[in-house]
Amino acid sequence: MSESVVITGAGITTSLGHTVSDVWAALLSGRSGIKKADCSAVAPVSGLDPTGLGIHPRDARIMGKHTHMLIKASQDAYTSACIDRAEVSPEDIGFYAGMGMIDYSVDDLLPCVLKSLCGDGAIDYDRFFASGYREIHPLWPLSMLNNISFCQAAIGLNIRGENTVFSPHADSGLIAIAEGVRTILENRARIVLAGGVSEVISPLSLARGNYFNILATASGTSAAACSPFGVNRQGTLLGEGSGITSLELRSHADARGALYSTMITGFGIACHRDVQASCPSVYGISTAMQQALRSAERLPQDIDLIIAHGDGTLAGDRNEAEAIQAVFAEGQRQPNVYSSKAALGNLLAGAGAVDIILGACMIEHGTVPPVAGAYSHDSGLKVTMIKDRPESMKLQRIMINALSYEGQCSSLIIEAANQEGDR
Amino acid sequence: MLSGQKRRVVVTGLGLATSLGLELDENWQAVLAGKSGIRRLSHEKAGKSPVQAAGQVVDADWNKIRDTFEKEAGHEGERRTLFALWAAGSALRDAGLPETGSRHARYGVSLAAGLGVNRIEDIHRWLDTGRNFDYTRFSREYSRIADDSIIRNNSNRPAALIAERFGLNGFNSTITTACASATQALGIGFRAVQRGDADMIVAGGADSMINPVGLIFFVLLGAASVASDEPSSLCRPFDRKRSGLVMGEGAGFAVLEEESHAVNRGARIYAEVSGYGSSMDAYQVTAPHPKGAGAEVSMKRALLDCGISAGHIDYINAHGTSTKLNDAAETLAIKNVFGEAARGLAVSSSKSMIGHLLAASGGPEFVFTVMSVNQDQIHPTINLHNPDPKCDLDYVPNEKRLKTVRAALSNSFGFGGQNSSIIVNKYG
Repeated sequence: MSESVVITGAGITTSLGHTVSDVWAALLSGRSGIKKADCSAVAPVSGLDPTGLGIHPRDARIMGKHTHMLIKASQDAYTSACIDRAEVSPEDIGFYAGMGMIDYSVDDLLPCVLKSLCGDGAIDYDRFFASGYREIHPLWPLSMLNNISFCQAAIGLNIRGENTVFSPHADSGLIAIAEGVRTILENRARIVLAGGVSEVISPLSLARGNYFNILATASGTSAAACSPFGVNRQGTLLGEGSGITSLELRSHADARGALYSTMITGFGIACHRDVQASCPSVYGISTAMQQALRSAERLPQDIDLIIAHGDGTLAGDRNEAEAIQAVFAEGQRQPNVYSSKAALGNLLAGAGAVDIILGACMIEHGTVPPVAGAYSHDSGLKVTMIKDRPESMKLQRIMINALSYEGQCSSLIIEAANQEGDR
Repeated sequence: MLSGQKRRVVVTGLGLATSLGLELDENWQAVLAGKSGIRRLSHEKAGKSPVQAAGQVVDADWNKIRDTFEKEAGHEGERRTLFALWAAGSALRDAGLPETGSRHARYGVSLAAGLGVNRIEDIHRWLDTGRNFDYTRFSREYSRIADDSIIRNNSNRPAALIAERFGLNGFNSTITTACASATQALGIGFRAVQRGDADMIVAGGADSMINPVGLIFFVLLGAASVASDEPSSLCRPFDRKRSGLVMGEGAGFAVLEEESHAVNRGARIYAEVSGYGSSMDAYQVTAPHPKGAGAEVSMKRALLDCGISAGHIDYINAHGTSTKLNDAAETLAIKNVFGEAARGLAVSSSKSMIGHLLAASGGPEFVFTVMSVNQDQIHPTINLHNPDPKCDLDYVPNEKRLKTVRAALSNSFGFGGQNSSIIVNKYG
């Protein structure tokens, strides 16, 4: 039997809690972290105390909330994997993450803008270059680079192995995990931490969402809900959060007695934008799903559940539903479909990684959580949604989709993996 | 999950957009001749900026790019995105691959994206009479955000546009690891072809920070040169009088193709990509490891990956940023990796001529590394007149070198402490 890669540790922080067990319990109870806000409802992370994260005061100035979320999830993934550092050198630990866009804080640049104005209130670049720019904190540039948070997390855990940062949407977190799996299979690292973190919700990130016309706005009737594949869906809602996994060879985990329930077996990737809308095309999404099945050496009927991207956008959900229909042809057993976005919002770069960890929970517990909140399925979309209450089912294989509204599509397959002694 | 197989990967196309031009040959001839693309910036561009020179793509070339990609340019055109389209398109054409057309699920893109443009106009536009930022008006008037603003230019847009324009609908990834980005994008693309995720990937990077906030970005960090030397001699990697990085802009891409795919279609093969490695300093986000410990690990990993001995490497295209810290630490790392053989190595810095293309820097540098292996010629490090005792390798000072290059390595290291090295060798 060929080697496989298993998940031996996980960390999640979302609007529904800062540990895997808290988030899982909240999802089972049907709770949603989405709150009404001025122009669009959002699912922000709150109550995450950065003081417990071991952050050096020197570096605190350049750390946004995305850094705190990434560090928290990384530390939990690392700790729950119970890695013996006497056995594993820093160079033998790899690190990959999908990371979101970074928006400047207006407050960081406002003093500079004001200092750069001439008498009539226009920007005067001579003033900007002469003195205005000095109003900007000298470390502000680092706060604009999304890899800096990643490097800070690596410093905290003393990770020095193979690495990269993918950006900025849901597909990036899935690519990060797939790259981590390959890094392990190719023996370039013994342990890999991999996952993703969302961008920080701010007026600027909301403006970007509005610019691309993906957000449900406050004027809509169901504006406070993200309704994946729902009849009243009006757009997606932004959420904050991070999910990081710890990955290693199954034989390596068995040898050191590490616990696991899930292995990662397939991955596919494609890019094709729907020119009519801000989302990938049916062709792009189905290509990624088919590739994932091929790489896992599985047939469509082997899949028990799809954790869809299902972000609640009109065209995005329609295209994804059509792609699922195309891949899982009629007459065959249709898999059930779940989306976490009704409860957590759209975590963008963090979404795919969080969904993989939730998928591992579902395999472990044999349960799929309900869609949060009041929900009415769009009967025009031929997908079978898990709806009102948690559903028990035997889950051998789950497919996770993660898409970017720029056109990138990715799909990953996880499977139940029994501990050595149980096999 | 497909892995473990190691298909051979060859380079069949190269494309550039730099301050030295838009064509591969004119760029290559210019760097061999030691010509600098660093010029004084116009007052319109730089005003009283502490940074007065950069490796800027000249206006005529920029206009040509904008005209070629009129549809993607929109009103103003984001320089990063259009440089990426130009250089990726040039690389595909150079490889004799279809530049437009049908969907190819086995072709893909691996792209290093620069930061994007932070515009103070996007704050100024929504100041109220009390000079506070009016969030309410901003959130209603988001469609007025500047065309090229970072707020509305997702980092994965250039890769999506390349996929769309050229029908490369398979693998697609965007890497953002500061100045390590492009070499990491090339490495990720190399791996994807090697593993069988794609048969061809156009990989590289694009960046431009020659805008007001971009110009002072590295001044704030204390990394930019603010010296008043003649622009062409401002960037002097490994020289005792080096004064910091000098910005460039543009893009560099390579077509990475599975060997039999290239051979079957009769493609010209420049060289073979044989190894890649990355590492992290885990030291400080504000400075590289003073002994180049991370750089050493990434070079060793790349060597281990291709299984060739250190003595087989004849040339290193260095990260060579012209900062005090990098050039000394990189030199030390090279000596630690190559030992005695380090003395026989030719090491040079493309940045001495085209400046630091930041996230894109590894793109053109990979192109020049491939050309060295293909042509047995090495471009010089220009402006190297005052030897620094801490930098005591053969940096090919000021004059190009004719030398057999069996294999060459290109380094890129990023702010934060991410390092990457990629190795190219003669094909055959």
